[in-house]
Amino acid sequence: MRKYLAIVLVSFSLAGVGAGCAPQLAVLSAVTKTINNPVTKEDLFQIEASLKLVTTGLKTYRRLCLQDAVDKNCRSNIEAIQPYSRQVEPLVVELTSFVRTNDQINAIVVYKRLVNIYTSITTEAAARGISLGV
Amino acid sequence: MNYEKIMAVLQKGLAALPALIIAGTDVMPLIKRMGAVASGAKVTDAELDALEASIKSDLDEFNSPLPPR
Repeated sequence: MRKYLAIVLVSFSLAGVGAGCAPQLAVLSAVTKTINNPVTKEDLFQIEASLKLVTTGLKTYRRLCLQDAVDKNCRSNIEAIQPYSRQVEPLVVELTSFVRTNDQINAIVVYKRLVNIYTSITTEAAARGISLGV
Repeated sequence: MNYEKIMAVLQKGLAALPALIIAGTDVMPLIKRMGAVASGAKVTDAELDALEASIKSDLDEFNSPLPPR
């Protein structure tokens, strides 16, 4: 029993540490994007991967909320984050299109908007006590 | 000490465990891949397509209206 508990705790620790470090790599480069420092496929991957970590956390939080397994304010927390999370998908589609066609002027604009939305979601979640591990 | 309250909290924690473990193990390969890309590995279109589909699936679920209590 202790062995299984230890495995579970290690899994959580690793996921938390990994999720806590990796997204920073993507977000830190957002402010420096210019025509001379274009948005590459690799930048696109990093921001999308950061978003994936967040959406995994949000989806899990919602599932647990519907099972009454998290805090009692979870419904209002979810409804407060949804206005931000609803903006993500169209921006991801736009950014992908701009990067693939190498339309860097629009890619940089959308990239920065996506980073701002990412920051808004993680800030709102943290303010409401939701740990997304990022 | 109110043992009933403690047991209720423990029960909630145990109910949450499977979902948390699945979420943690699901993202571990992605975190490793982020590290590799940050170190210079190249990304394929197929990889981006899969990632976008996965984000869309998560968001469709999270953004849908909450069912009545």
